[in-house]
Amino acid sequence: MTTPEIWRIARENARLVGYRCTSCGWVAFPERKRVCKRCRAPADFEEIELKPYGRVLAYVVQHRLPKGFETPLPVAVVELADGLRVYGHLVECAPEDVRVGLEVEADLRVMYEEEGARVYSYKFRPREREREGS
Amino acid sequence: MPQLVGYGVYLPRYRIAVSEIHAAWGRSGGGRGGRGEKAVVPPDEDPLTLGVKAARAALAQAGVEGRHLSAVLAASTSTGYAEGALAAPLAYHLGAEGDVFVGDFGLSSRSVTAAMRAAMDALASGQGKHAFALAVAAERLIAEPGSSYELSYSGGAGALLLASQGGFAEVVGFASHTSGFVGRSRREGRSHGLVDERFMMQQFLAHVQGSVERLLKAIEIPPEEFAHVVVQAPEGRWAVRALKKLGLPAEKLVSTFPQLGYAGCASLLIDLARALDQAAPGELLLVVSYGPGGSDALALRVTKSPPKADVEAQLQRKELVSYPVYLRYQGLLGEERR
Repeated sequence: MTTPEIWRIARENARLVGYRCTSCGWVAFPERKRVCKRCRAPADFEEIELKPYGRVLAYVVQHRLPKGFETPLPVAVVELADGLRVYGHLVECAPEDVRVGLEVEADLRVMYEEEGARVYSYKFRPREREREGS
Repeated sequence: MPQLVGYGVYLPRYRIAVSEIHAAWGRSGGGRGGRGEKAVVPPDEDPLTLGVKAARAALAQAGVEGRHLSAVLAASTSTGYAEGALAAPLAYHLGAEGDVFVGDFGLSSRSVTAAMRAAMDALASGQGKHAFALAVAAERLIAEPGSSYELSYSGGAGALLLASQGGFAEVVGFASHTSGFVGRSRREGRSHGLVDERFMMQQFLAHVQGSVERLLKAIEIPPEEFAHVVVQAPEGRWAVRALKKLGLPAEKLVSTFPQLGYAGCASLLIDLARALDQAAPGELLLVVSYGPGGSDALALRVTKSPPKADVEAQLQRKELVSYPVYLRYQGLLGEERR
């Protein structure tokens, strides 16, 4: 089942579509905004396809989480190449290997299950060249 | 004749050594002699996530955008849904929506060639607005711990992009051998029952031989002219036996079974990708599917040097896990089993 709140941002979520403020360049994701958070004024937004990679800006390793999450779970604020910041799980990466500046790429995963259906979104994993370098 | 314009695979990063499984059950070796590895799909991946990634690789290789697909056909026996859809959300993730023909194939590992055939027929029908059709196969097979299936059942995905022209290989022929024989089967949410494996293999060989003989007769090409052979087989040694039965040397078999195990529908497209990685212009490929209901055989002729999917590199990119981690990843440990 696809619920209204999932369907509302389905396109942005599935294809990493963002909206860039035409006056200052701030990127809204996943919702299409009418007011730019940086300009703090009504603005025009252009649709962009987000580049699916970026860098870890900050992270924590979660050890106590509700049922349904595997711990220890590294979660990070990632700055994508287009300048926006998103929050996401890190996968295929041991907690001790996470660091600020780590290059990561978006990877489609099952986020959780709801009403008999899996809900998908992106998690992050180290980019292949990071692994080669280490 | 339809042509291949792109192909891609997605292999999970995790593997388990077959010897690790044997050790967990206190066995010294067993049927696969304790050799080899199989792919392990983590719990947050399923046929959709795997399939999307293989499909994106195929599209990127061909430089084709998802919105230029007129048909997306998906095959999987492990979506876990009694009602649901794989092909449509998969197409949607690729950017294909609206005027896109989609079809879901399952219930038999053989349905991977049904999806390929449907992709070809969709092109031939001329009804699509766009020039490309995509066939995807993705699996996350879960085997009962301690069973013989546990030594091989794995997961992964492969995708094949087809068009009416401009490809690097063409489909020269397609033949089927269908019977009422079902072979391996299981009820939803249950594990396989005990079967007579020897009898299963004999039937496998008969069905594979049936489709291949029909194909070769139709296209009038003798078996020895094929440079690479892909046979979808739930056990690695079954494929070797099939080649012997067809009178072909075992060296022509292209298989990822020793590295990945058996990934149902996906195995055929992953092995085909590995074969295309090695293929040279002028060479012929024989591709044979097998699953409940029978077998399909295809002949492909490579016309131009194929682009590479570099299956070899993905096979090398791996991380071995222990048996307890494997069980956890399969969703077989803890309260929230799935």
